[in-house]
Amino acid sequence: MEQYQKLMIIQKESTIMRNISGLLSWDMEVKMPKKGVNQRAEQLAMMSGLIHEKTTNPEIGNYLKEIQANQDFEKLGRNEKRNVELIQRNYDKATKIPKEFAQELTKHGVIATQSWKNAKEKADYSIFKKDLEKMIELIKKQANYFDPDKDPYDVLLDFFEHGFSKKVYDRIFEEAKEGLIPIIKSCVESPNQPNSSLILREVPTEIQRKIAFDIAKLVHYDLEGGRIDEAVHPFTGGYFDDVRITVKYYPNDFTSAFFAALHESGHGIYEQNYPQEFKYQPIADSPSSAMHEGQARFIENIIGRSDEFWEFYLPRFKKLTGKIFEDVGLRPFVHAMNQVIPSKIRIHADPVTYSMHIILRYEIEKDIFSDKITVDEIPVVWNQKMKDYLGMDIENDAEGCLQDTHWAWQYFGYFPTYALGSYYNAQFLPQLTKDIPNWRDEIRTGKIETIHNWLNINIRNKGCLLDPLDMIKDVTGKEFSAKYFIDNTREKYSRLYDF
Amino acid sequence: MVKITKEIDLYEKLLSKVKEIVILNNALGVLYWDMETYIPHGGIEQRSEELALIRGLLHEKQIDPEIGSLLQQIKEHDNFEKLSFAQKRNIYLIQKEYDQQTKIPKELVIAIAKQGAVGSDVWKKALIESNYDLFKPELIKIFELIKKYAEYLAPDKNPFDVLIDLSDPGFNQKILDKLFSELRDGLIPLITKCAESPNQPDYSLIERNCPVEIQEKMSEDIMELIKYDTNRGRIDKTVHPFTTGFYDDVRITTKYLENDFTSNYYSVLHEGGHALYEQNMPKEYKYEPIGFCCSGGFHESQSRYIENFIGRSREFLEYYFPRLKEITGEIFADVKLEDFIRAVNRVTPSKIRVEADPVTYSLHVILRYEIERDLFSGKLSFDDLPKVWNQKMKVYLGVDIKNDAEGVLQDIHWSEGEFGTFPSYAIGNIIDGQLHWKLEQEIPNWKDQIRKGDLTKIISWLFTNVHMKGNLFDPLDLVKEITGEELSTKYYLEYLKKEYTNFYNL
Repeated sequence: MEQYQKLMIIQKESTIMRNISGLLSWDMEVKMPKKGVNQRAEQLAMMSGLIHEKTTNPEIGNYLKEIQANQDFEKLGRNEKRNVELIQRNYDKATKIPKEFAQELTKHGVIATQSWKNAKEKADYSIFKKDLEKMIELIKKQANYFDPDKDPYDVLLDFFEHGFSKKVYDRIFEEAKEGLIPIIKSCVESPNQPNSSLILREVPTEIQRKIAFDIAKLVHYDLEGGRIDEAVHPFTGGYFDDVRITVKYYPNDFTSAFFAALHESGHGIYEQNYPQEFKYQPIADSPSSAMHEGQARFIENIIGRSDEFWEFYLPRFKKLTGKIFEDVGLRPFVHAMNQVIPSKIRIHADPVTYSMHIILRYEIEKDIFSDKITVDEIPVVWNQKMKDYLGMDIENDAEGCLQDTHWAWQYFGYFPTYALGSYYNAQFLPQLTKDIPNWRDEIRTGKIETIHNWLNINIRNKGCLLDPLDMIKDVTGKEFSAKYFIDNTREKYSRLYDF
Repeated sequence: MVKITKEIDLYEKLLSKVKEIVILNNALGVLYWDMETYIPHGGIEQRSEELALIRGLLHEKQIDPEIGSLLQQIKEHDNFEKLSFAQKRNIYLIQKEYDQQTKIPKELVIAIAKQGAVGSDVWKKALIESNYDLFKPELIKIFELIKKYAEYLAPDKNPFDVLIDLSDPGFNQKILDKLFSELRDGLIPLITKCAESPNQPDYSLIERNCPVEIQEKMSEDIMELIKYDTNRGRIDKTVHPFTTGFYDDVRITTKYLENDFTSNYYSVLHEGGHALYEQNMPKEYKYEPIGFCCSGGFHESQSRYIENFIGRSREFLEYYFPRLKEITGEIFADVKLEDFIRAVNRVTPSKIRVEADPVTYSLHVILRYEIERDLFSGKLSFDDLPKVWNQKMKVYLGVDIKNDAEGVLQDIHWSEGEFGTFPSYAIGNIIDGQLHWKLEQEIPNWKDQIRKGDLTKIISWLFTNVHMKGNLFDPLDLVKEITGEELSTKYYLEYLKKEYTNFYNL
C-alpha cells in the first residue's frame, strides 16, 4: 500500500531525528563542557521542534485515514497493522501539543536540569524550587493538552504505561505495601544479618571500570554497538547498533557501578535486540518503559544478585580485584549483596525496599497534581514518608527530594513504572522455569546465553507488538498481579534471612 | 535597532532564519565530532543516516525562498541605509550564502557528493597501489563537476578565482600569483641555506620515548597557558587532530605519539589557536553571519600564530623547557635548552605535506596552488600532472619523488572535489608575519612577557584585533584594518630570515 510506505518513510525520518536528539543529550550528560549548556539547549529545542513538526504533520493524519479506509487494509500483516495502530496513537498524542509549547518544555527541561544539579550539589532545595514549580505547571498544561477531560495525573500515568491509571496503581501498590512492609520488618529484625562491610571495601575506579566492562560483556551487552561511560546519573541512550550506557564509580562502594552496569546493560541489550527488520518502525520499541525497566532489573537482580551468579562470578571477581576480597566466602558475600536495609537514596536501594521509594514518589506526585500538597511542602512530606515507610531520617535535600533528575527532566508519572518492571519479571519467572527448568544451573556455570535467548524470543524480539498487559498475558497466560513479586520476594529473602 | 517596517521587523525575521541554520549546523558538528571520537564501531551506518538527514534539513533551510524575499524587501526598503555597518554586513553575507546555495542545481550537488564518495574510494586504492593512472579518470570527473559548480556560481568569472574566493574571499589568482611567487622566491634560498648549514640540529632528542600520561599533562599545561577555556571546550584523541565547535562549546583533538611528543605538543598549540578564535568571537554577534571567522586563511593564521610564532619561539621555549623537564622527569634531563630550541625548529625538506615543518610547508601549498591553477587554465594536462608535481618538488624542495603515493596521490582533497582550498594554509602564514610585525610595535616588551610564560597581553591583542572582528571584514580588508597596510609577504619573510638565521647560525 503506497500510503503505508510513505508513512514508514516519515516514521523513519522522525526516528532518526530522535536518535540525533538522543546523541545530543548523551553528549550533554557525558562529554559536553559545562558552559555549553545554553547552546545545547538551543540545539535540543530545535530538534524537538523539528520532531514535533514531523510527527504532527497533517499528512500523517491523512495517510492514517486513507490506510484504514482502504479496502486492502485487512490484507496488511500483523506487524504492519500494529505499526499503523502505534502511529495513530502517537499522532493523537503529538498533535495535541503545540510546537511552541514542546520547545518551551524542552528548553525549560535543560534549564531546570542545570539548576537541579546546582541545588543537589549545594543540598539546597530553594535553588531548584522555582524551576520545579514552573516545570509542574508546564506538565499540568501538557496533560491538559493531551486530554482536558481526564485527571492530569491519570493522563501522565497512561502516557508512560498504556492501560494504567491511579486506580490500577492504587490497587497494585496497596497490595505491594501490604506484602512488603512485613517482609522488610522480618529482614530488619532477623538476627541473621549480613556483614555489609564485606562489600564496602575500597575498590579503585580503574578496577571497577574493568569489572563493569567484564560483566556487561558477560550478560551479552554488545560493546561493538555500544560503550560505557561515566555520568552523574546512570542512564542508557541509543538505538539498535549504537546503544550507550553510563555508570558512576564510587571507590568506597563498588556495588553502585556494578549493579548500574548490569542494570543499564539490561536496558541496552533490549535496544540492541529488537529484530533488525523492525528498524525505523514503531514496533522497534518496548511495549512500555516499565517493560524496559523490567529487562534492566532482570539482568541486575534476577541474574546479578542471585546465589547462582556469584557461585560462578566470585572467583573471577576475586582475581580482578587482587587481594581486596580474597578472604570473602560465597554465602556471606551474597547475603551482603542482598542486604535489605532501608536507605535514603533510591538508586542505591535494594530490590525489596526499592518499591517503597517508588510508592513514596508516586504518592507525592499524585498529591501535587491533585493540589493536596504544594511544591514548598515537598521536602517536608518527602522526609515524613521516608520516616514512615523506611524509618529513615533525611538530613538534607540532596539525600532527600533532590536525589533524582527526573522531575527536572519533565518525567512525572514515570517513577511508578520503575516498580512495575520487577513485578512483571516475577510473573515471567514461573514460565521461564517451565521452559528452561535448569536455568539457575546454567547461571552457575556462567552461561547466560540460554536465558538471554529466552528473553530475546519471549520479550525483546516482540518489540512493541503488544501492550504491556497483553504481553504479560501472552508470555505467562495469566493476568497481571503484584502477588508473584511478593511471593518471590518472600521466598528469596526468608531463605537469606532465615525467617 | 532600526525597524525596517513598522509592523514587523524584516531584519530580525531574516536573522532568526539564519539562527536556525547555525543551530542545526552546530548539531551537525556534534555528530561529526562524536563520529571521530567516541562512536562504537557498529554505529557508523546509523550515523551516516543521521548526517544525511541533517544535511537535507539544512539544505531546505538554506534555500528557503523566504530568505530571498526577505533580503529583497530589506534592500529595497527606504530604511535600508539606516542599518548599521554590522547589519549591512550581515545582509551582504546572507545574500552571498543564499546565492551560493540557490544557484547550484540540486542534481549537480548530488553528482558531486556521489563522485566525491566514489573518487575518494578509488583514491585510497590508488594510494595503496601508488598508481596515479587508476585515479586519473575519477580526478578528471570530479574536476569537471567542480568547474561546472564554479560556473554556476559566477558564470562571468574565472572558475578557479571563484573557488579561491569561497575559502578566502577577496583573493584571486592575480593576488595569489604575486604573493606566492614572492614567498616561493624568498623561501627557497632560506631553506637551501638551512639544509646546507653545517650547523644541523639533533632531532633524535625529540624522539625519546615519552609516555602518553606525561604528554597529557603537557596538554593541560599548554591549554591553560594559551588561555583556552576548558569550561567551554575539551580535548580528546583522534587520528587527525581537528577543532570543531561554536562559542561556548569548542572542542579540540590531538594525537599522541610516544616517540615524538611534539606531535601532541604542537597539535594542542595549533588546535588551541583555532579554538581561541572560535571561543572569542564577539558575543553580541552570536548566531549571526558576522559571528564567524572571515576566511580559511585567517583561521589558519590564528592556529599558526599560537603554534609557531609563540610555541616555537626562543622566548616561549626559554620559559617552557624547564617546566617540560619538570613534568617529564629524567627523559630530557640532560638536554640543553639551545639544542632543544634548534631541534623543534628543524627545517628539513620532505615529501609529505602533513609532515612538513612550518617553513617548508608553504612550498608544499604553493606547488598545489600552481598545479590547480594550471589545470584550470588548461596549461597543464592531467596526463602530465605527476611529472610536473615531481619536477616542482625537485626545484622547490630538492627532493626526489619516487612514486605517486609519496607524490601527487598523498592528499585526499582533490578526490573529494576540494580545489582552491590549499592556499589558505600559506595565506595564514603570510597574515601572521604582518600581524606579528604590528604586535611587536604595540607590545614592545612582548618577548619579556613570553619569557615569563605570561601570554595575557599577546592573546588579548589577538582577541581585540582579530577575534573580536568576527566576519565584519573580508580578510584583505581586515589585514589593512589591523596593520594599516596591504597584505604583503615582506614581514613574514623578514621574520623567517631573522628567526632561522638565529636558529641555524647562518
